[in-house]
Amino acid sequence: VRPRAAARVAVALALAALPGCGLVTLVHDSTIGPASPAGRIHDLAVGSDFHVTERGPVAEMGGEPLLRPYPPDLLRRLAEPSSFYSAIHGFEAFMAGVSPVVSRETRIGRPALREGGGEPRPGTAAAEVLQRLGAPELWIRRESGSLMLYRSELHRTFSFYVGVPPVAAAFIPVPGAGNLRVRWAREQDRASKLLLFFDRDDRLEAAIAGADPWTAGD
Amino acid sequence: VDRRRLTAALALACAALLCACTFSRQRFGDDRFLGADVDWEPGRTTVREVAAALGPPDLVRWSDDRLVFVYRYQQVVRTSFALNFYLNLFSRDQAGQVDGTLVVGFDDRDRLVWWGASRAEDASPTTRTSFR
Repeated sequence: VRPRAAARVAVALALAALPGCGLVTLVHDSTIGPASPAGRIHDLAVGSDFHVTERGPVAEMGGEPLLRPYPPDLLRRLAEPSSFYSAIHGFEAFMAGVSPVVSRETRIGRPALREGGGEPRPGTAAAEVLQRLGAPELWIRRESGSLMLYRSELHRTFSFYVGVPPVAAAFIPVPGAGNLRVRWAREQDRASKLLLFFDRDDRLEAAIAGADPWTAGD
Repeated sequence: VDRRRLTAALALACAALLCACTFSRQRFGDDRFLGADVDWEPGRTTVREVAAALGPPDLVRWSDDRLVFVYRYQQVVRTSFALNFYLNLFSRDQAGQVDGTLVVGFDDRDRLVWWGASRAEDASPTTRTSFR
């Protein structure tokens, strides 16, 4: 009797797994998606180009089949070393979702001028500048003289909730608890730039540094 | 009336009124070029004078001995109200945007040839309302 029962269970499980997650997530999105703490999950479940940012997982459906049972890159999602990196990013996004105050900074590129380091002096050779500051984002070489642009960005986000953050509301068994909140968020990009002008002999003529200002209160 | 009770009542009333509201602001770039008072002269003003006045550009383009500096600025302000009770009962979003771009062109001697600035602001912010 036991092997027969096990076979039945196996068949039932196989039948349940046959449609995969595509159908379930599509129904979820169509019914409770707008109010679900998980948000819209169908694209994530079966879409392609899956990756995780500090804001959470991202994937796109594009022209993919809506009822696909499993994502096309299931093994890549779960078995590659990058999946650990994605998991950490996902954890970060979850923590941001349940936290009343979130402050986040993302740096893109390395500032050309480190703290305490001044601009290169006029007359410095291009080779020396490259050695000291590294490769520029842009180097335009012309007969009359060349130009280098160094640029780095700092993306800063600050937000706070008064009340119940949406993800945290999912753990509170009170209907409508998620409405008891006010959210204020501010996002800003600040670029630090350094523009260098060289003469026709690749000697520095002028260096102009600048940084976008933070607005009041930033 | 007790002042502390009045303050507490006001705070509670404000919190109740602002329930389910979200306010957000995104700001990218530097808007100083939009209000800069420039006295540039084509053929005389140099690339270094422009860079010294406004700082290094966000983008640099070079083709056919023409150097082009691009300065960009964007600001998006969004407010939303979303009421949920198992389902999304009611939501209203409003977004206003300001876009600014300055393009400055130089010749092969790094002299100013032309420049142009634009500032686009939503006259009527996008509003979207939905009921369930």
